[in-house]
Amino acid sequence: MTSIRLEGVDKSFPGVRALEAVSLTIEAGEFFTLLGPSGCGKTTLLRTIAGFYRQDKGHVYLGEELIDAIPPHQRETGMVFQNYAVFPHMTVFENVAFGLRNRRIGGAEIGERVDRALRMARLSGLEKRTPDQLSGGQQQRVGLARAMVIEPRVLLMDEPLSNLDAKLRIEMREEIRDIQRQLGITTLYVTHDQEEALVISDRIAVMKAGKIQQIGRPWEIYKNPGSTFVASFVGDGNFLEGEALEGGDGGLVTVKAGSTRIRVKRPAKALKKLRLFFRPEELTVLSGQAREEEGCSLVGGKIRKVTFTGSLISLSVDCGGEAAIAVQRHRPEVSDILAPGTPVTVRIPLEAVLLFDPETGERL
Amino acid sequence: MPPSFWTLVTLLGYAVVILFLILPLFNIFKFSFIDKETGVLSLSNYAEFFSKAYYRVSFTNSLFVSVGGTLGCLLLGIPLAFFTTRYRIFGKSFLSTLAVLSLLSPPFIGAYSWIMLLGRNGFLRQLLAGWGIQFPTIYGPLGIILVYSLHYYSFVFLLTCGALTTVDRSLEEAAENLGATGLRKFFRVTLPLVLPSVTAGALISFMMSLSNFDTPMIIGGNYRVLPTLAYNLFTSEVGERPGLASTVSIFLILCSSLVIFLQRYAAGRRKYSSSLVNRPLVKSLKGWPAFGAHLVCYLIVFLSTIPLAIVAFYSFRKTSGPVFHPGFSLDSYLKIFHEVPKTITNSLLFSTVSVVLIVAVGTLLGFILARRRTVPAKALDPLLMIPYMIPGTVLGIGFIIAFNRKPLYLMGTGIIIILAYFIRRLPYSVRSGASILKQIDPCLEEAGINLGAPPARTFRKVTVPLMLPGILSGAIMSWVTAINEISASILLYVGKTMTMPIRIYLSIMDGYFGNASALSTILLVVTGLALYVMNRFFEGPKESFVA
Repeated sequence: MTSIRLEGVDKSFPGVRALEAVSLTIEAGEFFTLLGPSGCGKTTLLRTIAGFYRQDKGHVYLGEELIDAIPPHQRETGMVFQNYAVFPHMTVFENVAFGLRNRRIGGAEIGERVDRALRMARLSGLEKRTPDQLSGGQQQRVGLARAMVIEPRVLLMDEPLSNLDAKLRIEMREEIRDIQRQLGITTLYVTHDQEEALVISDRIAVMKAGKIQQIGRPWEIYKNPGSTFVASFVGDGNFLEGEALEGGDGGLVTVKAGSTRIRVKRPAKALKKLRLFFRPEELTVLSGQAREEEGCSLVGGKIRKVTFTGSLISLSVDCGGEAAIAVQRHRPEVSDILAPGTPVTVRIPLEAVLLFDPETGERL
Repeated sequence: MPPSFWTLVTLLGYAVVILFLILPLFNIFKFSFIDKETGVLSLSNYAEFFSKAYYRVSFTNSLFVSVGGTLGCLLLGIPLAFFTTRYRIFGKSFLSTLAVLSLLSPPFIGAYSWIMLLGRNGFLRQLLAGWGIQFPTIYGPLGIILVYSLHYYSFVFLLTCGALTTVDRSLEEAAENLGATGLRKFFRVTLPLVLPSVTAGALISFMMSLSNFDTPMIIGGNYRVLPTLAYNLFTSEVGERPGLASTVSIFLILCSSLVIFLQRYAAGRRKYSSSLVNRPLVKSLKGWPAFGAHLVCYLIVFLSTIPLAIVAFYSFRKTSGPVFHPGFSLDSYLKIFHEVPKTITNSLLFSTVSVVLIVAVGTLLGFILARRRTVPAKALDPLLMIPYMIPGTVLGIGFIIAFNRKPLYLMGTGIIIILAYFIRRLPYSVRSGASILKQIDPCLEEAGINLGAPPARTFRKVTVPLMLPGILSGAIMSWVTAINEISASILLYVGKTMTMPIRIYLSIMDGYFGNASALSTILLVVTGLALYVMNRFFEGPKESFVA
């Protein structure tokens, strides 16, 4: 088990600054995910660790060893590629044995280790197949077995599931997580799929434009986003632009957003303009008029649209502002399916509202 | 740290370019400015070229026959391509194989077959004369244009075929759905879609016509074009003029560079086709239209193949010296096996050795071009284009000037001929290597490296096996072009390094048609066998013969 440490890593390509002063430590045995939209630098970071790119500035360590000058074939990393990169001219067995042969390991041991790796990846019996006889999912299992069999110091996975169909993706992410736990191997995983990141990771780094925005456990990232970017990229949410009104009592302040008034906790930094954020599942829709209560704001509006997706119902409520407020309810009742135009009240709990600086996008 | 494997390969690329391209070209350039009387630098050669109509006319002659040849190629190539790709033509693959075979045989075989038919004592001409019809002889510009058209139309044919079969069917269906049918559909939709390929084919034909040397030598009579002028000026026993020959070479290079530039531009616009398309339907024709389409296709291919048949036919005729007698025999074959077995072994040896070099160096450099992003690697790309622009005659002259003194004295050796084959074919091999690589996901190589195989081992274990089918078919193509090469080697050979094409050419010039026919037939059979192997064992579109 080996940790990965980056210190102030910069990498530019002509016209693009792909990585900007990236520092981060991935603990030994940790499942760490780089999450971000395409072009955010997550793959560049992974490839820099693999040695396919040489950073312009900064250092990369595996454990205590500085690996900046070590060529990629000597870095002992196991990489799993987005488009599998299974050698089409070799059988499954030969693919998995390839890394072992490069290490001059004896034939008997190769057989044994390949066998074990194939069993782990649930590929036993397919040794003699060639890649064109395998499904996408099976090819990616070969990719995984091939990377694991060399017992690499760290496992690097570059969007390994994004070429698979949705159902298989969910199945395989569980398997990858199980195998990783079982072997306890340090894993760096790259994805643009926020749900996948939340499910699979010990910790997540959210990236944007070559910079790390936030690092945290999945729960923290979701519940406690540090910036509007993280809040919007991970999960769904409502944003409202508003102005803080003068006065207010003690720890609370009222924000005017369009024609609505929402009470929020007073931010540490006193700003006139504020950006409000709250998750749809924190809200409740009440039919007709509702009574004021402590610790929440009530906003009147009309149902614009109702979307039923089985386990979940999504309501879009017009509250006089330009954007509608989205509300989600799990285990919906038939009475939740309201006709468009029905007047309702949306209940927004005080704790649900997060405040951001609209200028910088930073959390207040 | 020692330099990496790919750095060494890049250096090798530069060594090849500098030694075998820049050096000969620089020498030609220098010679073109050396006054023949005083030996000092001057513009006298250029002044002489422009002042004498004798020289100037060869320039316009060159343009005339090249334009004529190209038009002929378009006239033959486009209909053949359209009919064979869009209609069910019986024996289609047979026709296209014959078209390729006639393309790959040396053009002078065509030239002298047409002389046999329509020359002074031409068989067909005498037949017609017997019926009271006086047919003009074939010598001169019209003969040259005829041979070029019937020889190089396959470039237009193959490239147009490739484009026509990859036009998305739904585009033509959309045109029909919007009300355009028949000729309107062809001219408004189909032709514009394939036009870049047609243009590319036409430009290759033009380029080949411009730089061809053997056809005008044989069938041109007194009609001078730039390559024959350069050759004569350089080799003439009385008053050889290497300086002026170099000047002519410079003009040739300028012309062909312009054409190459246009061709790259046209090829760069060849973006419409893709491999993931609804292939166009092949329609069945009935009645007169079917007859007409077959007639056109067979006539075109027949005319282009007839020289080959004539050569084979005459190789079995009885001869005594230069004269043919009635009846058949194997005399000509016995004679060449007796007199010139060395030319056959030379040809096989030189072309085989050069192909080994071409494949090894071409594949490595192809990798550099396709995969390496360093500045020196990128700069190698245009440099490796240079051989495209140098007509064989010019390369031959450059090699003689560059390698006739120490420390690189190579004159009279087989090595210099091998090197000429090598350098002329290298850009094709590099390009095809690079384009094969572009279809191989770089991830596969990264996976190899990531799994602990150093770059050279990854290249050997991962890249090369994936490239192998492409490399082998490219190697066969290179071998075929090498064994048929004449325009550079004719300047570089000595008695003991003579090759089959040179022997054939000399026999034709001396009037020994029997020998020439027998050797040509052997060459054709060898070429045909190579093509057969390639078709049989390697899949792939026939455009790969020309691109």
